[in-house]
Amino acid sequence: MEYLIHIAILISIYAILGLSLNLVVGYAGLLSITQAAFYGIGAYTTAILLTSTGLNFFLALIIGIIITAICSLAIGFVLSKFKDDYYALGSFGFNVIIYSIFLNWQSLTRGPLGIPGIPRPSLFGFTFSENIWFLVLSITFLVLVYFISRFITGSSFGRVLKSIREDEEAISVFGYRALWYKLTVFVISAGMAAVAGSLFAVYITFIDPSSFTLTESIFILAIIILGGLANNKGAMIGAACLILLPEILRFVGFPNDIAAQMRQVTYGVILILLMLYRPQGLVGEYRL
Amino acid sequence: MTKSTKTILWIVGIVIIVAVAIAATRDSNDAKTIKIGVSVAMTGSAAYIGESYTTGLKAAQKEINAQGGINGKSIELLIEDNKNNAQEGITVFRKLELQKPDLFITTMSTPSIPISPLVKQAGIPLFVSVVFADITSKNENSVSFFPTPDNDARATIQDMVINHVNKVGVLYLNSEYGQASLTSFLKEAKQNNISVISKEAFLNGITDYSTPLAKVLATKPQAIYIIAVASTPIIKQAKTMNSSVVIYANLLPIFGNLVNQDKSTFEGVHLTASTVSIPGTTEYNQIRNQLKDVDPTNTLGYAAVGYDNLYSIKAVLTKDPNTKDFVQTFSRFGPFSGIGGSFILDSRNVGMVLYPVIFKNGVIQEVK
Repeated sequence: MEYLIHIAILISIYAILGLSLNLVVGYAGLLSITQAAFYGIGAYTTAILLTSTGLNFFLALIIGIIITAICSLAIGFVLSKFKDDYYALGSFGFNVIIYSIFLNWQSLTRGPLGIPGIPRPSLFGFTFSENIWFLVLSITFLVLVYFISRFITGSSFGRVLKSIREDEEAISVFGYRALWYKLTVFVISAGMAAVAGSLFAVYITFIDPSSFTLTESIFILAIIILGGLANNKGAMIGAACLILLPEILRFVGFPNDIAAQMRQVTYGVILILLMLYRPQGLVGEYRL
Repeated sequence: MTKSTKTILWIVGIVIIVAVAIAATRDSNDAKTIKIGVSVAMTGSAAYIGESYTTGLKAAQKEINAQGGINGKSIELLIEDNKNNAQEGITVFRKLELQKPDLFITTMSTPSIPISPLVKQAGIPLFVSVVFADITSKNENSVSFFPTPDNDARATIQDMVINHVNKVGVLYLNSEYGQASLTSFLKEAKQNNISVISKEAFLNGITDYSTPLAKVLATKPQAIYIIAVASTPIIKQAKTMNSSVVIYANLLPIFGNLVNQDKSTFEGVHLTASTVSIPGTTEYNQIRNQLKDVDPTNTLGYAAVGYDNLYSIKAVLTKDPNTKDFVQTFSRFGPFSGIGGSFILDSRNVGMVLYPVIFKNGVIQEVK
């Protein structure tokens, strides 16, 4: 049972990440590969505040969101100077910079040694030490993030984002300041990623820079592409599929000597097949 | 959502539930086996460690089971890939917990740190190997068995003292392993009045070390000490940039194969080794004979660690078959000698005796 609860918690954390990136990539059409950096800033802020100041998790979470939002505002402003492939490359660069900061700012982050002993959240004397209660907490945040995403994408703001995705120049002609909309959604997305990062830090109870590399950003991008771009339910389905698939493969009877490698190969083949037959993703409306 | 997508999702969901149910209820004849959960990096950047480690582990399992097992019970290894990742380490433990292991072996620091409290909570004795992080002080139901950075630093400094080296520049991998090794080295150097006049970190995966090397060499050290997972390209570049500086590199026991595969690069380089890596010793001949069939790439070091880890488990359980008492019995075990050499037991932590050696005229020789 603990195993299934663990998988469900991971799915909810990655679903939050998927929802957050979907706003930027799926709705605004900005190919951003920085999400792991914001995920990491949220995680590190929470971890540092909880381990060195003993602050309550929920306060640390809010501070984590604010700090991530400020960082993303600066990064987003620089990235707004780029378009298309250059935007992707620029975001790639920022992910590398943030990772390097996690790795080298040792007095703050302990560098490669990571931050161990992160306590579980508590609220009014109740500690979420049992995984089942942590699952309730993570699902609560997931539901909250889902409804925020749905509200954004269903509003006039969301419609403008889609228009920017389709033709930025055209929407600018109508007087909409595309830069403002892009920056706003970028900051909101980063804040949501920080929520996922905070949950991750207190669940795993140990973080180090290796959890927030470019590979992680690409994994989050894969979630929303597989699930379906510009579809909030797709982001959640994509997270579920990409977390569950390797776990299912653990139970397939590959020979012991090559089991781990065969799982990776099979995982890759399944993803390729899915993309061949459903390039728009499982429930997507838009292709990159 | 289309009908086909819904169908796919339903199928996936049913498969998961059935698979987990099968795994959870699988009966592997508990009474006649000792189940050992093993969390090891089989894929990713640390796969070469995990592959080698499990090679030695399985070789020992085969021998022990052929000899009648431990107190008549055969060993069953439940091996899963932790990808050297914290989240994956927890997933592996949760999955293996379904099979109710009697003991749990974990390798690599990053996946081991978060699972230690979980294994403790589950009441399973934890055997920690290939880990530099401090796990045992926070989990009293755990033991550690691996060369420590302190073992390596002591042997290196011993060599430097013998060769009158007073000023050293250090090049180190910016990782948990590199940081831990550097800390031990700095401590030993200070105690022996050896000045570390420069320190430069480098990232895993780079191929050009000229910048950090130039910075270290610019301070004109008598010797440079390289802390790396694979030091061959760094040594090559260092020799090109300065042919007269004395080069020290660490942890030969793990990478003995690198030395033998690239004799010209390692010629004149100072290293540390356990007896298993020193030609002519009983341990060296023993490992060549016993592991040559299962270790074709001759990685030796980690295979020897895996092999000795399982034999140490056998020795402890033979003395007291109750796995609940494993840690207590282990901590009172006394001297232990394996294929990797002799081991130093310090309560619940086993290190390895390492000796300063130099690779001269194509042969590893002890520095005395």
